[in-house]
Amino acid sequence: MAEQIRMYFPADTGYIGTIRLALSGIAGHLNFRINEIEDIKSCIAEACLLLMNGQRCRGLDITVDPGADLTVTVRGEHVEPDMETDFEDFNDEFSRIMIESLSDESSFAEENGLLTEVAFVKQRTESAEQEQ
Amino acid sequence: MLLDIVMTDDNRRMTAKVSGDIDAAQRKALKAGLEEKIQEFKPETVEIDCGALDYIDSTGLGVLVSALRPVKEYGGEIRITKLKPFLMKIFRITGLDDIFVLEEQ
Repeated sequence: MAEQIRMYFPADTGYIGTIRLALSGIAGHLNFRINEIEDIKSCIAEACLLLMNGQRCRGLDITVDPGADLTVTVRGEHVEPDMETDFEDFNDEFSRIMIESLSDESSFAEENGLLTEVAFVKQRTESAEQEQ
Repeated sequence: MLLDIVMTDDNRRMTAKVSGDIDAAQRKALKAGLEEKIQEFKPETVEIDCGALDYIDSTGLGVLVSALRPVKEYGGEIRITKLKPFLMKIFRITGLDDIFVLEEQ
């Protein structure tokens, strides 16, 4: 049975760098290539930003399923509207485009007009020696 | 993120060297630094030197887009230079290669 990895972080932009690092480590362990790991890191960061912009959530529940492909799901815990958390200059269209373009599949789930979950899939390619 | 801004050519050229990450946690410093110098000197050319930039997220892109508006109003341009291939890809997929002058490493 494929292992599943779960992480929980407070919904704070200060943790996004740590989240990216964790996904980087996981993807490296799974022999994704350097450029694929960069894609995965960007996708997870953008998913977190989308869940925190214009709304408040208690935390970010992150599930990583390293099956045939890597599936990452980020769910906001207890999401509520909060316009004070609008990131200045944030463009959620950029964020969604980045996730859609850098992953092979993506989905954005809403409840009552609030974004509650972002998921994306990164397909495995032939494993290659890690670039130096 | 580290930001180093140098004015040259009789203040007509501004070079902002950014290193590290431009993300939601760091973007305010970049925004403040760029806005202050652009407002004060109105340089004809603003170069964002990304030779040491490792990562940019959508909030960082937003900062660059918001810096562009006043520059365009007085007829200047923003050049984003020495982009690593992955960062160039980010600018391309978001369509920002149409509004900035970009140079890859």
